[in-house]
Amino acid sequence: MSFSEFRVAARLAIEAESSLPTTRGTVRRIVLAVEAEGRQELVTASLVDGKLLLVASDGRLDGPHVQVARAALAGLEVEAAPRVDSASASTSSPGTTSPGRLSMPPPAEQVPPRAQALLDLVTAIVRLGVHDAAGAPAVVEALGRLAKEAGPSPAVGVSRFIGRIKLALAREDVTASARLLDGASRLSRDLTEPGASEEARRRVAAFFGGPGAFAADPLIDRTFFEIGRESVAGVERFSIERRYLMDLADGQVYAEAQLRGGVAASLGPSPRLLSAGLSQVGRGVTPPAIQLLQYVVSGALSQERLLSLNGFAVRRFSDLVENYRVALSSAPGLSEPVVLIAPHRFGGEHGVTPMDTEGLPLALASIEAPGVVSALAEPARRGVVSLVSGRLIDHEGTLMLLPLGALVEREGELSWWRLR
Amino acid sequence: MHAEGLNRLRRCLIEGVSHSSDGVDVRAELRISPDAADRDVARSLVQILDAVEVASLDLAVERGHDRRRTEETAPVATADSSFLGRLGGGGDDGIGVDEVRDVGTLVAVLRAGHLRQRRAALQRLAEQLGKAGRVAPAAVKEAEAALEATRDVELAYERTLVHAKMPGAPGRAARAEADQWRRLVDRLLPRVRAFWDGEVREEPVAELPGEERALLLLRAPELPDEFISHLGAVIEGSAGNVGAEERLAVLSSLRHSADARLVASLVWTLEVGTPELAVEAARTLCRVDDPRVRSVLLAAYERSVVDPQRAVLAGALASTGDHRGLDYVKGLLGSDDPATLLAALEAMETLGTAEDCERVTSFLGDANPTIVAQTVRTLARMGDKRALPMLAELGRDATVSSLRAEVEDAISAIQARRVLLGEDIHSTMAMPLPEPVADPPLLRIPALKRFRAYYLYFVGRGWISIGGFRRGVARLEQAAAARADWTAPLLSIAMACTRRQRYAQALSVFRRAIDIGRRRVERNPVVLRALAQTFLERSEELEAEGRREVARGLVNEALSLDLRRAPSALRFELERRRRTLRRSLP
Repeated sequence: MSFSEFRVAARLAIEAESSLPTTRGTVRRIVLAVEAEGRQELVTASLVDGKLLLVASDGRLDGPHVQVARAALAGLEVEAAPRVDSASASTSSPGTTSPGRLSMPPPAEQVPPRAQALLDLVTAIVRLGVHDAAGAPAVVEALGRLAKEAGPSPAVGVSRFIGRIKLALAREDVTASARLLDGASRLSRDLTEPGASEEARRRVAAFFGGPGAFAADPLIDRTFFEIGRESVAGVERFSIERRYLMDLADGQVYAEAQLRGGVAASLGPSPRLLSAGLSQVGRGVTPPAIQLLQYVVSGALSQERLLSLNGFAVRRFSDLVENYRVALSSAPGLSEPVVLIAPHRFGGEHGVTPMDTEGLPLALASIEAPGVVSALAEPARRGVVSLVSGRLIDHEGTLMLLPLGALVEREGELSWWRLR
Repeated sequence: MHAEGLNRLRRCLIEGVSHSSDGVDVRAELRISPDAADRDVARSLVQILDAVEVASLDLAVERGHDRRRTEETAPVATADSSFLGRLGGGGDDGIGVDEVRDVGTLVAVLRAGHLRQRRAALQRLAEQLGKAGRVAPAAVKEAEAALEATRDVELAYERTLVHAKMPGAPGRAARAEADQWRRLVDRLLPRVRAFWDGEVREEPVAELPGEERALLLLRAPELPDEFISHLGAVIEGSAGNVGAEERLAVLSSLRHSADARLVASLVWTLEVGTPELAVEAARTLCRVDDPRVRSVLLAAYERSVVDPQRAVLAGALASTGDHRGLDYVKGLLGSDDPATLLAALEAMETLGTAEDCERVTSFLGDANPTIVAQTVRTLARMGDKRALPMLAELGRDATVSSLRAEVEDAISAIQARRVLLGEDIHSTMAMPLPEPVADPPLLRIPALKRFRAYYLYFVGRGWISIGGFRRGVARLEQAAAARADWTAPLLSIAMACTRRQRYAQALSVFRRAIDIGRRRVERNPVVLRALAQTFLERSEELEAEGRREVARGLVNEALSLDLRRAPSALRFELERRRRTLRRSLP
């Protein structure tokens, strides 16, 4: 149905009633649901001082939806049948516009809905600004659309992304917002570009889940030590449970994650040793995801095992910065590196900052975990903390550690102290 | 791109490209086409800003710590300049408990202080006892008497530690309890390992009888790390087929354990657990002296919206010295909902001040006995002497032994507080409770009859001691019939039944003994132990049969007695079961 057909249909309806409408009134505003470039926007048309003002729901005054709406109102017919929803009229996509009758931008590439949802979110937040975006209807709607595109049971990756972006906006954290939006933007490109690289496919799988989320080669007969466990924000507060497992063969840290109440993660206390006969690991983000398929749990931690953790701890904090940069550059907004460090000593203003052998400090994220940092202070000052595990975060150019656990010495015995 | 340009882009992201205030042409800054769509602007902007941020990342070399301004608000404390208000506090005005030398003062703190002060006072008293040679004998005696009189379940673990170092019967009992606990741990640890190996299906702690679980977990600070990790997994829900009810049972048994190794698991439960689990986790957390506690309780309090839960969280937060929930909880005292009111009164234990005494005292006349009992506990902790006349009146009229016991403890706590405030103890003790109605004296019966009763009693006990249970019971019944007002034969039968785990039979005989001489039963710690164990075990049997209402009735009946002389583990478990059964019934 073309736009003129609305007029014809309206005339027919009036004729069918065999009388002109008796109620007098003036049309002040027209709302059109316009589909263009594979997405639908509402375009509001109104007259301001005799001039036509068209605004699309994406905030644009000159976008394709506005152009299609203007053409339709001007009577410049479009060829393809427009769809009509219950509230308003709509016209067809510009891709189907008759080039002889209406000059329109060239047809946009067909954007997959998930990529579009990501892009819309990025655009909405950048348009409104980090200062005003938290709770803004356009952003809420864009987040809702992203969650909808992720399916009824969204993957941990997308859920975590939504949680992080909400938190970043609530805190008006520009750095975190830019990173997450860059990650979303890059994902949308990964989804759109036809010849996506292997790395891009991994990122998409890590974000949306599904086939390809785990590598084809499983890990066989590995022993893992749980160096940290935390519940983090997803779509809802504390809705993602994460356990960080260190492979005692090579020191690689994996993240075993599940949505709250899920049954995908392994059972067992923290800390623990896991002897995994078979496990599959993800790729593309840091730390890589892991799913244990056959495993045995033990809460008994021998001194030798605990001592062996020393071999995998990072001693030069400048290495952490480099590794962190690499992780973020490959998957911004998705990577949340977890590390085990061996402080040479503790120092700094409050005597609790880990210092490496070169005297460089690694700040502890006291805002995210104020009590945890205080709890670490006393044993750190006494010098009985030899290793600290934690998640790396950054704020305004400073790399920081959010502590999760520590190896402490009590009366000559090593024990793992869970901090979170 | 130079720094100014980057700052402008940053401002664009902060303020939004659609209404950038200072006329920044974001497209020009990004060097993209003036016709570029917002979408492309957004992509370029975030890409550049992120790339620059990542490239400029570094360690905090300059200051070495988190440069962000702390968002954590300072605790909202109530101004209490009294001795008790400053005891254990930091700062110039603070008085350390270890500075207190006077035994009488320590005893008063033990009765009137808040939990941390009472713990510290108990430790200090133990130190005083250790210096028996250097402290006046009278003071040592006073300390020993105070320890003996301390029956607070919250201090059960610390009291046992102190007792274990003492000579005499209390020391022997404490050491025997420690041995029993060690045997229990030795028995359970292999089962815990077998559970994780998949050899045992049932979780070993959850399936323990209540009394043993209470005994095990009251001494949690002594448990090995491996056991604590296991308990953490159970309460977090990471132990497989352990249901929510069993998790709650283990969590509530941990209430007084105060072990910092469990903080992470408790925080996890507070954050992701069901409301019931979260509230129980808060109650346990607030008893742990750990810097992580306050911030998580504060966050939970701030995000909670359901009144009873928020009230409990406000009270828990106050235990850490933050009284910000006071006005909110005071507002809940007008609630018609018994659960909300109960939670508010519980919170007032730590939040309440002298100003609130009148309002709280008004609940002493409530028709709901649970609310009355909670009010008495709250007044005890608030320590305002204006409550004394009302408490004394309530105690005089109390027909239920447990309520009378609560009132006695509350009056003692308030009086102790007045002593610490420097008031004359005699003026505060002007209203002692009258002695409870004593059991009627034994009837005078002919000597021959009396002799026969004694004879049957000893023969009956002899039969039982050599394994002739049926004959022994028959003789003891004859002895009881010979002297109808004599509880001893009945108590012997009941205890013999308890030892043989014939709880239903023991129950009826205990009831007969209570009818004849309640005070005699309540004053005998050995009998009281068997009685509490019988009621507890029988209620568990009934619950297992699905007769929860009857089980709840039994627990309530036991808790209506004055159980202060019963072991802490049993009292704690009975209280815990009452809460559990109350929750589980419609």
